Amino acid sequence: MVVEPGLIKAAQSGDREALITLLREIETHVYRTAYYILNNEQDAMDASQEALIRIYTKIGSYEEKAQFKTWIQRIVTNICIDKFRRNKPTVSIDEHEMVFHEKQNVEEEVLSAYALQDIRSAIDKLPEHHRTVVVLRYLQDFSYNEIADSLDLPLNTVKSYLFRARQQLQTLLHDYQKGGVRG
Amino acid sequence: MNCQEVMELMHRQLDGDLSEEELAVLMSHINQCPECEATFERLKRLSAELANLPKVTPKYSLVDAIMPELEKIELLSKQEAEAPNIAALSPNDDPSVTTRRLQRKRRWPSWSATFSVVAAGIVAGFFILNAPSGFDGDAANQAAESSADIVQRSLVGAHDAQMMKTPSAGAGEEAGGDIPLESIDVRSFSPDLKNDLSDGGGTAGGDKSVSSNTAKTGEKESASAEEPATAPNPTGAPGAGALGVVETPAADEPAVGSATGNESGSAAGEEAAPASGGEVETQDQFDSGTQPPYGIAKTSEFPSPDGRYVARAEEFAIVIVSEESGETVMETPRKNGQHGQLVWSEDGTELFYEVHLDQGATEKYVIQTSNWTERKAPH
Repeated sequence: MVVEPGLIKAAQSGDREALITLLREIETHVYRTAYYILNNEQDAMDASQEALIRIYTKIGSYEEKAQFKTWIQRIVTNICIDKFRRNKPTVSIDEHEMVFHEKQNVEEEVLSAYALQDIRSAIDKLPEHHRTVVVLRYLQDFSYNEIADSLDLPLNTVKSYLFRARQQLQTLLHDYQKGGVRG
Repeated sequence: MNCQEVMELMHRQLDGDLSEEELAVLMSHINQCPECEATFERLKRLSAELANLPKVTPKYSLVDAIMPELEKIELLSKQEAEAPNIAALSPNDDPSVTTRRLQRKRRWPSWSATFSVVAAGIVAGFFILNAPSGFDGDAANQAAESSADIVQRSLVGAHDAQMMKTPSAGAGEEAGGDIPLESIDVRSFSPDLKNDLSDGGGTAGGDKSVSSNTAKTGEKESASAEEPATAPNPTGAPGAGALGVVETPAADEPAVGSATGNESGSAAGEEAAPASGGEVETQDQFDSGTQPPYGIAKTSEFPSPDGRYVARAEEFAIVIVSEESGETVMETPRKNGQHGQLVWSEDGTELFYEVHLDQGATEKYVIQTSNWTERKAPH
């Protein structure tokens, strides 16, 4: 997503039409992040509407030294994590059990693709920060640095969250495929 | 380089973060280590699948949905800029105050904690009920508002407790039996609590009184409470009937009946048919000025208890019109689902309603008349 800098400037200087146009350009990106973090359409609708309203009212506080796309992702991820924090079990991220967890028949597994529902349900089981990092990496195509800026996390933490999240996803998906319990 | 260290290289390779030298190290290790080769294959595949997740888009334009709210924000900021004195006199119009209040309200306490607030709610309830109708002024309004807030919190607490009990209350309850739960809570809460207070019943008493009240009136009320939610054409197509009348089974309300789809649609149509005659009658009654019991209107329009506003459910929104000026004072952001179950709080400061989503879930919302904001009510 690239928003034209001129549009942002116009919006910041009080051009309401420009601001609305800008919101329209980003709404899908905002929604997509919320959808995969919250794994629920209605919550995602609510969270992204709230994020857009916040962007509307806070556009004046955006500073050019940050990328606009990381600024809006920071707003939407904060809303998702703060306001829609759920008390549901997530897997524990334990490094030891993840490395060379099990021997698998690679060929057999590579042949069958994971079901979309399984992937979503596995993402949903990740702790929220790990989940958020995965969403920004794969749905927003963000780099390590952009994720770090969006979430206000050190670069090494971003890497470690992302790597662990992938390990954990793999373990969960493997379990699903072997008929383990889902959900 | 051991396998553990190679693992990090694998991950960084997936993210396009390796230098040529690092890539060479990774590849040479993988060529000698079948386990790492297998691991890398799996990771690559996982990464590819994650990159291919559907690029979902919202069902309708989110910007369109928030437009009324944005216009309100715009209006408020203009008012503030043009007439700072007016803004200072009416703190409710100050957007910063609104925002702060929103934030505070959204942090609902856990339901167990709300029990402690119930006692405060009783006192506040007294205050509101006994307040002389003539008293006015900003300070008084503020006080009334904040105590209404407390009452609301305690109501919600009691309601949560009620919901906790519902499953154990058994399947004997009618499918529609728990629809009016909320309305009954709202209407009867204060009087019942007063009784309990005099009994020294306290917090636990409050809970008990609400549930017993529900048991008594639940069945009788369910028929009438459903009526207002029905479209002006209650005998209409099964689809139309199903939307407003039948409580869609929600995941967290197991006591609700299991009827779904066409079946429930036709059932609703049948149920609503005999009621349509009654509706006309009620309309007359209402026109002649007779207040229905508990101030609940039996029409598709829902006047507030103080007579200042009329709320009605539209297809994707709730619209509130001022009785005095006839102007629309609030239109909620568009929500994807059938709106219904409108219930005013006893003091007219809040309007509760529900949205029945396509997926079968039910969302509950509360509109605050003091600043025309709405928020999600906990289930």
